[in-house]
Amino acid sequence: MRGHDWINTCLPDELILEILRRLDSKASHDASSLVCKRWLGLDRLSRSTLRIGASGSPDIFITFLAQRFVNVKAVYIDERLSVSLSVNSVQGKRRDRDESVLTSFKLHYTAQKRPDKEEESESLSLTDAGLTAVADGFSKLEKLSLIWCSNVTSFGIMSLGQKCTFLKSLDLQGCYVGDQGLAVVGQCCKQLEDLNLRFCESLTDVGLVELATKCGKSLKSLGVAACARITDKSLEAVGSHCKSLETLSLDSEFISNKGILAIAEGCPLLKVLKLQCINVTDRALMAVGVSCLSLEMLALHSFQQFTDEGLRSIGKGCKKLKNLILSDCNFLGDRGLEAIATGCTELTHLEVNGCHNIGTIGLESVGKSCPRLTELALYYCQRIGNFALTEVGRGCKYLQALHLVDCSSLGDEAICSIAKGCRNLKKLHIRRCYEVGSKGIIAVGENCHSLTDLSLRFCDRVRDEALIAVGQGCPLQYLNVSGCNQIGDAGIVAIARGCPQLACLDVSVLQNLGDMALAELGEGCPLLKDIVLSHCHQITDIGLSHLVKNCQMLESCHMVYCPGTTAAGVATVVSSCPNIKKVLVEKWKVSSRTKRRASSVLSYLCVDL
Amino acid sequence: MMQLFTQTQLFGNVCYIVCWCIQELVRVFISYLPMAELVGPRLYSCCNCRNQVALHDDVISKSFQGRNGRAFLFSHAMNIMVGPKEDRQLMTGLHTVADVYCCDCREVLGWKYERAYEETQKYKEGKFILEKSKIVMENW
Repeated sequence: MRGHDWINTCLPDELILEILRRLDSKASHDASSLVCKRWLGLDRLSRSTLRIGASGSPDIFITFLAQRFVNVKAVYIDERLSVSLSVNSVQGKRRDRDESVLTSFKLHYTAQKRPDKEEESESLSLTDAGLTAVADGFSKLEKLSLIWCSNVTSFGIMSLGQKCTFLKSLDLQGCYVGDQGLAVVGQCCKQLEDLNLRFCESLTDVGLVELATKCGKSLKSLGVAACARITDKSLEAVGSHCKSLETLSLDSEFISNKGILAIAEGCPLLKVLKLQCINVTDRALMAVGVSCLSLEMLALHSFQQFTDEGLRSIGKGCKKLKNLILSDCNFLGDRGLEAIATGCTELTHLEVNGCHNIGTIGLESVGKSCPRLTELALYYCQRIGNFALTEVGRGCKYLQALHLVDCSSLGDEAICSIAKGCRNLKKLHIRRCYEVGSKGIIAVGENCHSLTDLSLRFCDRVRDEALIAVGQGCPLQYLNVSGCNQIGDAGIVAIARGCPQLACLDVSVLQNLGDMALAELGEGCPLLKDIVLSHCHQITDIGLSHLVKNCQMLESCHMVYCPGTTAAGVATVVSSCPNIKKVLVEKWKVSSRTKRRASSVLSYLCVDL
Repeated sequence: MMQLFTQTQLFGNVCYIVCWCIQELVRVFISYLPMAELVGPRLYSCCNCRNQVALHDDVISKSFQGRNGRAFLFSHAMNIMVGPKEDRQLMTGLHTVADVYCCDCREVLGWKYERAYEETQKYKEGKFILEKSKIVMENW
């Protein structure tokens, strides 16, 4: 029956609320809030998360939000995100009139709320008043994230602590808060599990010790970085009070073995440990190997003094280790990695980044002893040779992701063994491995039928025949062949015909790519969302028009340094794609008409610095 | 402007409140915009490929002279290769420099000051010169 509403009259509020709570995407929530006033009110009750970027007058804004969304449990405020709302995006013939009246209304509104003009310019970022408003308005708050809110001080945190006692997760990254704030949080928020103090430069031991003493029992995760006045003393307090600590991330020159030893001995449930502390040595790592037997993830970053001895003791003790990251640890060698491989056979993720003493032998033992490996990343490992990956291919049947950057000794042989042995491979990223050529990639195309993500950047020996094989065998959704300058139309055409699920494509810096490939892409890949055509000298407006004719889902297009394209091409892209969100192009290549119609979508490259 | 406001009192007010509300609501729901668009430092890239080589935050000076025109002095550069050291007589005196290349496309972007032999030039040691004509920036 037209004009008659059945659902709204039959269902009570609570039921509709339950239904709305089960909607999973934000778009669905937004759509449901536009149905009618009742649903708008109920939808507001069902929202549990708010994300706020840097906006003008955030304090008032928060009060406004608190009145509307009363059931919010998580608030994320990130002052790094700047949102500039262009009134130009309002389209239509009566635009001029709308614009001027909108401005007049805004002035009217601000005049009402803030009678004295001086206040108008100051609170462009969240202040203590705003934080107090958050605390007052969202009393059921469980998660709060304040990222780089530079005007927030201890005072705001104190009022937050006193009012939001159910707080479970607090992220103060980059906020200049002091010890008193942290102390009050410790006294009042007894359910605090997650605490992130990265770049909180004014914190000292006093605050952290106080917090650890008061609410240490519930604390599960702690992160500290670039805090010059947090020393071993704090870690000793954490070690003695935070028995349930599972995750610890430390980036500091002021922490030494004493602190880590205290943690190792005091927190036996530790699962994740990330260290970037140049003054910590093997002694600490050995203590971790002896006491933290539940350790699942270990990450060691940047020029630390650890040697194979430390790794050996980890291999002996932490049998549950699943994830290991070794980044720029120049004293670690093959023996250490061997010890980890033979000791921690449950290893699933391994990343070796710039550790110049780790070579083929270390990786070989990983291939032999860690059958459950699913992800392997080797960055800047010039010494690792083909044989290492042969072993990995033989032993790690479940490998799903392989990342290789700047491994100049790895060639076709290695990639062939991986392809033949790891048939479940889903992601393969190779960058600047100059010995890898078509042969290896053909093997991938022939054997890895689950591959959805392929990236071959600046591997200049790869040719069209490789892409033809990949097009035939791999259901790609993401392809990046930037800089592989032997690839031309033939290869991309094969991909266009063979991979209809392709969503993201990067063919930048390909000198031989022409319009034909774009035309085929337009026909073969209707789901294409993101495309990068920068630095392709042979493509023209014709190719672009063929591409966008059928790729209606296109959301982003990068087309800088394409001398064959003109303002007409830009206009075609902007007008043909209803979902377009970003077009990167040179400013002088955009006609004034396109600028007017689509300025919110255009992103300019500054070549004239 | 005041006249415009009074003219459209009733129906007008509702429209404008809706516009303003939409604007405020969009501010709240920015999480729908892909992160890559909004967040991030301003980056300089190689002119020849898309490699990101420096942060705007690391610019120390914009008024240096390169081989072919203006150049910027950066405290850090990333994704670059440093070539062999050589002694060069520059406008400001004798320096030991090493050419700096984009790690992907190997385009020469500038150089790195390894050593300076005059006290007044010592501050340049360890820093990078990237020529304006070789780097581009995305303006968001």
